[in-house]
Amino acid sequence: MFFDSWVLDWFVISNIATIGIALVVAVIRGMQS
Amino acid sequence: MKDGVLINWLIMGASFIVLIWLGWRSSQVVHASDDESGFLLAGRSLGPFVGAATIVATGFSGWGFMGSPGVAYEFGATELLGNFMFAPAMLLAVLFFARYLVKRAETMGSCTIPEYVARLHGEGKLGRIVHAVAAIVTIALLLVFLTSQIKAVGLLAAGWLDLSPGWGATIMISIIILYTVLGGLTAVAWTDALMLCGMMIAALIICLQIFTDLSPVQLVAELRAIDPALIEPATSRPYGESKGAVFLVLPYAFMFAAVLPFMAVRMLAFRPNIKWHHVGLFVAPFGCILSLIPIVGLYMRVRMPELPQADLAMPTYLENFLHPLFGGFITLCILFAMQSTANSLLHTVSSAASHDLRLAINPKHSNAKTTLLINRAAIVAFGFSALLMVSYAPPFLLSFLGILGTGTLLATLVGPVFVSSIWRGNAFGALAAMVTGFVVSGGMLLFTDAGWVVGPLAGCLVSSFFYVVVSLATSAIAPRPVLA
Repeated sequence: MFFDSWVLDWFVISNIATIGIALVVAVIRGMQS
Repeated sequence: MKDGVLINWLIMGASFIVLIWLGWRSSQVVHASDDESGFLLAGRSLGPFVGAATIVATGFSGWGFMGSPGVAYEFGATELLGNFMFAPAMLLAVLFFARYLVKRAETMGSCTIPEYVARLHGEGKLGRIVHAVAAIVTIALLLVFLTSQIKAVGLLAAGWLDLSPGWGATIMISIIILYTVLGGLTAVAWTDALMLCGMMIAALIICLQIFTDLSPVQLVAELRAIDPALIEPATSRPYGESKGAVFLVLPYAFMFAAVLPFMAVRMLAFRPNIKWHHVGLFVAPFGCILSLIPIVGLYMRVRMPELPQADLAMPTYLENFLHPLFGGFITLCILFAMQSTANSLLHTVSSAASHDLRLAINPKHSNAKTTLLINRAAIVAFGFSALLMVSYAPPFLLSFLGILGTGTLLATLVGPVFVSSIWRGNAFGALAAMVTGFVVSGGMLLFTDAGWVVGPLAGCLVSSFFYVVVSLATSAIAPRPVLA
């Protein structure tokens, strides 16, 4: 996908997912409060 | 004395002055509280930035700077993913577990994790037995980990400052003791925040140097040319033989962040009105940035493929690819990474003795001045005890001692701390879980070839099973507390 390597692709996806989860939860909680 | 060493001493001296100043300033927080929470829980004063920084700095020990690049050098990109798993794990623990833990601990007035376990599962004599067992296991296992950290920090400081390893360890632990005695968990958290900033700058300097020399695509291509398995491995070695084994690090690291007393106690130290999603916004980028450091191992495999030992990847990189001033600064940051874990361990071990064991033996409260004195004396006593133990620690397998201490403690406490948030057992279940988790994880790590992640995870499963079964079997004589 990114590097033609499952382990590096997962590394990139995990980084994006980690930042994404933090942002999505912050937005949802922010809208709730 | 060589010129380079003089510069290192100056850098080290400046950092000591700042650390002790932070310790002195943080002592005001200790004295502002009228109970033990001032020393043990930073007066429940941590905000999102400092709180997130102390969680991430404590979770990413010197392993990320020294051990992990060596593993990446030997096994390739799998280590990049394995080491990274601690970042989402800490984020998930902060976003989805901390709120429950803090609410429950506040209701029960718990200042430490052993105290939380005891109050959650029983009152009176039975509760005190649970309290004592949790405290003793915490002291025994974290003292092993603390010893390995002090040994590692002593070895690194010795090489950097041109000292014997014994003097390196003595100087480093003395500074840690001094600021921790002054400010308790506040000092630990504030110095952790400073150290984390240094560690992130170090990670960025390293990435800047590496990627101006080789672009990520070139680095991958060169590694593939050396050995395709470095980039496209058929297994998850060293984490396991199947491809998916590396993902087991995620549940392990989540338990690490949520259950281990020296990690979980940080969550109790946040101010009462904290918004956990704000903390998550700091934890995620901090974790992602620190997770880039093992790239050094991959870079060194391309640039210097003939190193006699994989563990030399980072020291050789600092010596050959960075200006001495940057090399000195990054070595200081590696010392910071080790210190930030060591100070947290020392604080947790000491409070398990001075607070938990004291209350388990004699639950009557002493006055605030006396307890503060006891808490501070314990820091000094355990700090120097760990220094003495360094002389007897085996000269090898520092990482193994770390895993033995943390992994086994994780398996010991997973039932009473984590499973109890979903299904509450009783005091007998908590005791059975602690004993079986300790025996299974410790036994598998010491006497079998099970992996470093598999042993503790198997211990977690057995411990959780016994927590539920023994609680159900004994519910007639000790009813399970109601889950509110």
